[in-house]
Amino acid sequence: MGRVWAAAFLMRRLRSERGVLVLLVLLVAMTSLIVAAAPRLYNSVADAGLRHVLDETSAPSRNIALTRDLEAAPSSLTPDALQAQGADLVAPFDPAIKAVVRSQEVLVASARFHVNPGPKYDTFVTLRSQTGLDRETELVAGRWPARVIEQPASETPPVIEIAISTTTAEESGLAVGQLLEATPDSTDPLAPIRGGEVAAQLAIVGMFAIRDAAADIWYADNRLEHVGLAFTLNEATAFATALVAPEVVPDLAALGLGVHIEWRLFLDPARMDAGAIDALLPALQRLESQFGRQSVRATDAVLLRTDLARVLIRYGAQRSASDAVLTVAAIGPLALAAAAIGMLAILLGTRRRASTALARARGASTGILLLSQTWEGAVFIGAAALAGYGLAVGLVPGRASLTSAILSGGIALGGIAIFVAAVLPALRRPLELSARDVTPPARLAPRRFVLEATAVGVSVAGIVLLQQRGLTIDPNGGGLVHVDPFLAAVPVLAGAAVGIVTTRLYPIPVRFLGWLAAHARGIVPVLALRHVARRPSFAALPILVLLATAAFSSFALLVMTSLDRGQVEASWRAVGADYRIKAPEGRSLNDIDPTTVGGVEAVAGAYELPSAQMRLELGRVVRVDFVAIDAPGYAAVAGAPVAPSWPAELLDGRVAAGTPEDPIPAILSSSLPAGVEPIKVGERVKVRLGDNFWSFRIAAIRPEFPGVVEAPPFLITPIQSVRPLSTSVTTNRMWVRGTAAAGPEIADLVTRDGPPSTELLSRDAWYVQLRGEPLIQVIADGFRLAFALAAGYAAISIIVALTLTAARRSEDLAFLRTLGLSPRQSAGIVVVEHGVPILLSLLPGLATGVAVALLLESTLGLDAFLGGSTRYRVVLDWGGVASVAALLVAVVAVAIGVSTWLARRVSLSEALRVGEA
Amino acid sequence: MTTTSPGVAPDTGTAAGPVIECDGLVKIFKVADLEVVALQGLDLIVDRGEFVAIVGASGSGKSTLLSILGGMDVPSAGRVVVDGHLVAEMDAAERTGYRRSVLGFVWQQTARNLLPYLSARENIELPMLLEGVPRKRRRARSAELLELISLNDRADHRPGMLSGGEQQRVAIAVALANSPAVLLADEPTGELDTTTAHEVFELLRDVNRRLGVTILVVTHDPLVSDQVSRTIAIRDGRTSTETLRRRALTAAGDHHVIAEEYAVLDRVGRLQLPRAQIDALGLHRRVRLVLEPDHIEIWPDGGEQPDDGNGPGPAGDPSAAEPAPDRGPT
Repeated sequence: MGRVWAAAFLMRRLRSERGVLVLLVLLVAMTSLIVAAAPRLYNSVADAGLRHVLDETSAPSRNIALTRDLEAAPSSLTPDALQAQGADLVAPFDPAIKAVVRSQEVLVASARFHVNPGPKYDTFVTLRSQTGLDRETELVAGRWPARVIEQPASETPPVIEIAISTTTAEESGLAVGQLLEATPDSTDPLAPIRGGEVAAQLAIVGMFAIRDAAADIWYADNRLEHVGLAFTLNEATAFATALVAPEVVPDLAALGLGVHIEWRLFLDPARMDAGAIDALLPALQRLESQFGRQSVRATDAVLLRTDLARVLIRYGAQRSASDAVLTVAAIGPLALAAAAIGMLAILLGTRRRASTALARARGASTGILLLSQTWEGAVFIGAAALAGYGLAVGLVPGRASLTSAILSGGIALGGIAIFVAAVLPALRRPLELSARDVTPPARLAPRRFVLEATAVGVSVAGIVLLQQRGLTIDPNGGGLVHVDPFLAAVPVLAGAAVGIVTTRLYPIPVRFLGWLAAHARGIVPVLALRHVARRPSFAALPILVLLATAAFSSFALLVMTSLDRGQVEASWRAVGADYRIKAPEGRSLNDIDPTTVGGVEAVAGAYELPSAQMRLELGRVVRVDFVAIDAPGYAAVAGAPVAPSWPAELLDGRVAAGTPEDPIPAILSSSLPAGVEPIKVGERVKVRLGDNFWSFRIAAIRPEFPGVVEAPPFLITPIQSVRPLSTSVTTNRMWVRGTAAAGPEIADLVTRDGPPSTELLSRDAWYVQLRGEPLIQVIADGFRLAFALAAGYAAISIIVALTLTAARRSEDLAFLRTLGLSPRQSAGIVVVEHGVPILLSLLPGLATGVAVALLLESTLGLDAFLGGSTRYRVVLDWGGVASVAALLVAVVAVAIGVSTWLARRVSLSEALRVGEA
Repeated sequence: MTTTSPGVAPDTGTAAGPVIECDGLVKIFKVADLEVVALQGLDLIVDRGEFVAIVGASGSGKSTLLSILGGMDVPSAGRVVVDGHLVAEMDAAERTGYRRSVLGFVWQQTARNLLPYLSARENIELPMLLEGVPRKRRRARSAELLELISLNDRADHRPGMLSGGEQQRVAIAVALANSPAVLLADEPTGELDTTTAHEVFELLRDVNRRLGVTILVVTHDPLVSDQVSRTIAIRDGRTSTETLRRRALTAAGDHHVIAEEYAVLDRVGRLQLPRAQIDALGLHRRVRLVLEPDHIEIWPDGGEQPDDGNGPGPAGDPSAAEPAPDRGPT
């Protein structure tokens, strides 16, 4: 107990030593706030990322549906019975799934009926009853359908009232008031094969408009709004869907036809967060094993229709990749924060050296002094870390994270350990030396050499391992990767290793500079450089800090720049030009002329036929993405990063006949479906256009053709030769080169003149959308923040390190001033002594960062943040690296200025009495 | 050599057996690639209750001796016993306790004796706190010591608010806090003016007289060394001479101080002759010793041999010397 009181007594030193301690406390609090806030902010980002992924996913994929096709008894199809069946099916669901379900609706669809008359086309109608449409539809004509109570005579088919959408009416020619004879379509599995007798009469009693076709309730199914049209050479067939009253559903069963029932569970993304995935994903996977998947129609079985588990796994993989990269970004500033805290602790320990020696001389044991230091550390640093954590919890939005508490706790414990360690040199220093105020001679102890060599070896090993294994490990092979913290620290370790080597080698150029200075006039460089050359440990700390900062900063800059360039390249790959217009299947863009829009510089058109039949020389038929393109036009609109090169014969404008004697030149993908023998240049293939096969000669083979086709297998050929071959060949793709200002007008043009559902994609919008994805944006933001924090912590570390060295030097400089050195010359010596070694370390630091970025190019997993198939490549932004260098030089200049100012506050007489006072 | 002076009577102390015994102390420092032999077999005996001054030129080894006695350094060879503690054989923890309870230390620099963030009273209480003395006793003892040094009214002042002399007095009180057997002082008056130095020294004498604390003072100040009962001179890492002072009455009944300088004889019989005497007689390399019934004579090499009753002949003329009678070993 006496020891405790003695230790507490010694803490009365806080009466007079407050400044540095306050700085240390503030630094620890700020660091704790940052490390506690980061996981919470990242959770917000992760949750936003999850919601973004879900928003981008179609409704059928992100929700859960249970389907059943059956021939059921009418009594089991009443609205209440259907609700009850749905509730029974959902009851055993895992609570994790139930917790995110917002609502449940039921859809019942009948077999398809062929109706007569079909006003415009040969028309088939499917009858549908769907709950939850009250707010999504608006009656515009007639009334909502109801169950006909009084049916006509028994030999007459029953009347079923239906309502259709305005678009269906417009597209099909159906109208309110019509009475249609409905015959079951025997090609529909729900309709048993029977004779062509009329099963019912469909009375169109109402017409409705759909308020929001993109609403979740429609489940990405626009059949209730639009008519599906199928065209052949001679005819067109329309497939429409009409609404019936829920009470009519048993009547459909009474017709002896099957029904398709779908219980749809709509999940609420707002109830889902990234933290809930750990419980939700296994529950979904259990659900999938419980029900069969709706891939093959199976009568009477309840099947599951959802892709949510795969969506969550994909999201999880992206999130893990983001975690890994951000860990790399976070370790740099964390290491520099530890350095800054360590520097302040050393400064405080140095200032307390005399009183520590006196306490030892008075009989205070090492244990008491350590206890006092630990106690002080626990009270102040522990409280500061706790305050930082509390501020983060109170002020920073975001889901709580255990990582916040762990990191803040780590800062507290680490800070206390550093604080206690800072007093150890004073405790280990021989008392008799303290009494005589002699500094023990500095030697390179073997132990220290071994430690440094080990540190260098460890970082080299880390680089090799990282190159071989990559940043992440996937222990379960399911795509959910974990970051290896050691490997994530490799960039910082590399900087530290190079720093250690630099501190050993930098006296060589300094000696040379000193030799040069000795031949020139001026005493300042001579005195300064000789001092540095003969006492290399003088500038070791600032060199280590600056070099690590330069390494991390240049690495971070290159990653940010390369990511951005990669995303720009990805946007060119995805869109192919400034704008891309894509008609829906079966439609053409012949009525659209973008050249009429101001700001449009060039336009190229193409005809794309997905899954075209391509017959090989040996007779095998494969499916390819067939694109007939205005090649010279596309060469004019394409962008530099991914501009493809064209074989000359595709650009010469010659019209080939497409016959075996005059085949059309084409570019084939190198990747073909499995089992297909590779095709060489010069070989011929045939592609079906319309009803005929036409001949093409392979002029070039490419692995990809970004901007034109998304993925192999593909066949690209000039449109001028293909257009005459079939009337079905029309322009259904366009690429436009134009300014950003032309975008709105192009959009208006497409809406006005293009067929419905025409897609307009802007490269800028694609790029912005990609970067706007939360888990991608956080990478750039994270590196930017890490860069700023690293610079800030480095500035603090360097200022403190220079203050420490300036304090030791002040006696020497004061002595020189008594010999006649002017204050300006004295300041000049400080600038040269610190500036030269630090600047000599800047170049190795920047080079290390660049080298690490290049070495780790393929292992950081940054491909995941570029979109599409774009590979991440390091772009050497020398201008940016130079900016980093300039910024760090500015930081060093400020640090030297501050430390010089602090040193000059000590008067000559005080400086000369250092060691006596 | 004997000198006589009137005036301040030196302390005779209370001799009660040796409290400090140094036997053949050797200390070698290694600085860079150089070895410096600071102590070369120093012998020293200080009796309990003595007030001793250690004098010597710069580099003679007196600060090294103080460091060793103070438990802050370990001798390279030799034996050191302080108040029954074998200092050279202590480990670090034992030396810490030794510094706490057996010794008191006062340094020359006034600012180095006191922790700047503690008041005078708190500085005095610190060694007792480290020793585990209960609070009540600490308070009482610190009050007692503050009374001794006449600084009751400055008890709560921090060192920055005290004068140099006051700081040294507080330093003495700090050194006495745990009632040490020995108080070591390294130039305690070195930074003080004459008047203040005198006050501080008087305090030390008072402490020695009233509390019986053995005091060892390293000093350059002849005013200090002249006022102690015993002054030990160190030269070249060994004790060379001692000057003992005693009070005597003149025929007229006045008190005067008699100072007698002795050459120190170590346990193997070596002694160092005072430099002045060596130079005066031109002694170098070797001397002849002549044993008389009650003394030993030291003759320069080559000087006239003494005869019976005629006294020594002139030195330095070997041709004039007659062979000396064989009177014993040389």
